[in-house]
Amino acid sequence: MSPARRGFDPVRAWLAGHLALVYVFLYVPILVLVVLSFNRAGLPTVWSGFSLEWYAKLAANEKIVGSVVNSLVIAFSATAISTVIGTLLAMGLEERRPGVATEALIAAPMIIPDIVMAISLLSFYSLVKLTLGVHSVILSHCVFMISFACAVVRTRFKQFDHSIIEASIDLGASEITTFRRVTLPVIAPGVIAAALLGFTLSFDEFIIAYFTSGPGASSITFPMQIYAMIRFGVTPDVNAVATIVMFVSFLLIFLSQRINRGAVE
Amino acid sequence: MSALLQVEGVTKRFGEVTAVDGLDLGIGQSEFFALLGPSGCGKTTLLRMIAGFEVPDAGRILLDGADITGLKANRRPVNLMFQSYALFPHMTVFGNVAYGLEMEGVRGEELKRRVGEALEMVQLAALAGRKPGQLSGGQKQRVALARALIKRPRLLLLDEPLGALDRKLRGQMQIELKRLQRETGIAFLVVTHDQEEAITMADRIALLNHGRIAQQGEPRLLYEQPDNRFVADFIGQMNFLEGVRRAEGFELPGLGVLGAANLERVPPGTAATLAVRPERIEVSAALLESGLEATVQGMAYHGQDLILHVRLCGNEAPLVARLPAAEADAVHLSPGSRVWCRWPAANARILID
Repeated sequence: MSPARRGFDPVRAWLAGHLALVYVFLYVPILVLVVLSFNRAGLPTVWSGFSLEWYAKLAANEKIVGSVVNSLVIAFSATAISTVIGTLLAMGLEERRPGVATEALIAAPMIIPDIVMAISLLSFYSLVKLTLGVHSVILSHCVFMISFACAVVRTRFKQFDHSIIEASIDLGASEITTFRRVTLPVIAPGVIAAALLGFTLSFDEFIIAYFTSGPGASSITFPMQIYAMIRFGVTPDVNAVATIVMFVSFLLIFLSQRINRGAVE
Repeated sequence: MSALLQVEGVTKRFGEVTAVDGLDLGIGQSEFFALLGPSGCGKTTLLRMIAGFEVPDAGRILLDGADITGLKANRRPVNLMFQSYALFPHMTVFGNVAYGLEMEGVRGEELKRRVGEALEMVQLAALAGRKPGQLSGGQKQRVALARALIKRPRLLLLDEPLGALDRKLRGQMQIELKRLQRETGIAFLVVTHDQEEAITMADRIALLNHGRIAQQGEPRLLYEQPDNRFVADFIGQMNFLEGVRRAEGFELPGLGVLGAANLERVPPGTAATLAVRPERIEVSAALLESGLEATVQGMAYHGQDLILHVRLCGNEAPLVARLPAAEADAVHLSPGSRVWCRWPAANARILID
């Protein structure tokens, strides 16, 4: 029992107050946004009653629905491709154990600024004369998502007993059977977590998509659509959109961490 | 006895290091064989070559007379029990044990029956539905055993099978392994660094050092008649006394000339070492005929035994004697006591290297 527990401790009180301020700073704007998305009047200054009107309006907005479809197509495709490649990459790295330089090169796309990545990809696409559209955004997202997928799957390999692969072969299994029945099921939580994280990253991603989607409305993604909308002021339907995106992202990140950590224990 | 496994001139190098160096080995049908040696002696590499996870740089491995050197691990009628047990963490005990049979295409009722029998054999039938994470170390080992034995291999390889168990459990599992080996009739090849374990369990032992066999034979042979200093030192406790072979016996400088069991095999004039087991040494507070005078340095009580550390008067050589505690009580020894030590010539051996 520490003496600090008894009576008033100014240091503890100060720290607790500080922590509370940090949370206020982080979450009050988000909370305001969520609340306003349910505000009937749609004015940021007056609360005029609860309403789902703005959510209903969203569903009727063809531009928004179209951009959501684009973003979903991009996120699903890029997630599928990058999760498969990232997982194989992680397996290869575990087996071969290359030097620090190779590891750094594989991790780099995670930390290279998005704007740099966006410009270089755009230059590269024009160099190879690739037409821009939804497909080029998928390709661009894969570039950094592979790094993330690889990093997440590798956390699973940290606890992986490699002798179970040899045990499977020793018991008469082929290498493919071993992958299907032993390796993959054991690393599955990491693979799922990588996919969930990748999906969130892709769905929210703005800069790279903005640069590599090309002109025209057909390849506008959801974040780009919101950006287009707020150029004329923050309207209540944008609040509704942001609220939905935030909750979906929260959920996916939460699930991804739960699955990976739960499986490790 | 027709050999089950023959290892002929097998060599394996890892870069500059020669892990296994032109090694020959033969294991008989239904034999319990131990590969013993310190870490880095090449025993695990040899085991992995027999299992099919490493390819020898030179030499051949024959099983039942057929060359299996180039055969893949999943095609050899040999199974390995891993040191870490390597149980599949996502499968139940049943799933783990069934895995090997499923790879052979065994399905349905037959699979259930045979897995049931295997689990029965290692007394784990009640835990068939558990995952490896819910098992104790001893239980995991039984699962690993059942999983390997269900394949009915010609030869079962065990890599440090008792290494991860606590002392008490180790004793039980030694008996258990012997029982399983007898009941199944499958030849066991155990790799261990624990000489006590090898001596207790194995029919024959090969002691490895630097990728070569230092000596092989029955445990008693290695214990009683070590060929060289490495074997004498590695197996059990041993006293070494430096001296020279003379025409009339083995001369210990300052102590006189003694007899030895293998005196005639060593040419006179050779500098060598006399090796005597601590339990062969007789210690007395009274003068012993042809005994060596010594001073007690210290003693350690070990329950049934008393370990006595003495220093020989004459050349100051240290000597360790192991006496039954009941006998030692009567001697009333304490550090500084003057004692006399002697041993039968038949229990002393001269070692040249």
